[in-house]
Amino acid sequence: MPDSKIQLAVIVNGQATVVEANLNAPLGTIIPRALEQTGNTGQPPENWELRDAQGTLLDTSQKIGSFHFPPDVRLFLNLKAGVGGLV
Amino acid sequence: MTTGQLTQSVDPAVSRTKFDSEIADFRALASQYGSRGWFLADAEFPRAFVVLAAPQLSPPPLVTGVSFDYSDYDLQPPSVRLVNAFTREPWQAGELPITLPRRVEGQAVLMPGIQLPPGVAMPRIMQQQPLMQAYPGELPFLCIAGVREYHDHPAHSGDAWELHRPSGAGRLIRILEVIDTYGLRPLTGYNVNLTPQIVGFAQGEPPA
Repeated sequence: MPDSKIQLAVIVNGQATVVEANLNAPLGTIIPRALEQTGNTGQPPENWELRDAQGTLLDTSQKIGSFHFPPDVRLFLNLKAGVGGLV
Repeated sequence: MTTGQLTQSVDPAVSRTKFDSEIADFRALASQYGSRGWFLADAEFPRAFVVLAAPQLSPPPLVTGVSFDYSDYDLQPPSVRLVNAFTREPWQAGELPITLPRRVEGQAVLMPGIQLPPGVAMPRIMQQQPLMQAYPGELPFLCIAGVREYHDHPAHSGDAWELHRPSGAGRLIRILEVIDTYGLRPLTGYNVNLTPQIVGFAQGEPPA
């Protein structure tokens, strides 16, 4: 039976961490874990966005396995712009 | 202690350690950020200077510089200015090469004489709202939480820095990501202004 676990390197606001994830789970499940591991509190997971190394926004509702990430993949998790642009 | 225009009231060793951590995080993945057009040109506490290019365009331009000042961090958020990448002078409002427009939902549109079926929402106009804001005669600033100029603005006195500090809103990479998302990645080409000039007549093959 193939291993359904994967280690993903996640860069949270520039700080690196490694998250263990399940290939059959939605990509968004790694967000709370990555935030917890890097001590980023105060903003809920939905206020963060996940991108690949090229800066492309990733659909966090898709299964992790569907992205076919290579072993050395790095994902970038950053706080969204939030409200702004108004003075 | 003052560093430039900003007062340093936190123990400078604390701010310096946090600043060094920001720079180390950038340098650890510098080649990856470089492939996206982000280049750390200078870093000496409390200031960092990053140049942003648009590698998707041909030829790829250096679009803007970003000047960070981490004085008094993280009691205070960093100051962030978009500046000319060559002179490092802050852009005036009329000079900004990018204004970081974001798409926002506007007001519902009332359509006289048209009855929408029950449950159908009124259509809304999508508008563009620039994240770079400025008052006449003042330098434009990046109007998002995590930026000193945003939190210093009287209109944002209800959105304190302390609410955003624990989530790293003032971190270098996070702020660059916002500028890249709204300012750099949406660039698809150059706007060119041509001024045609008539210099004579086009002529076919001359007769024998």
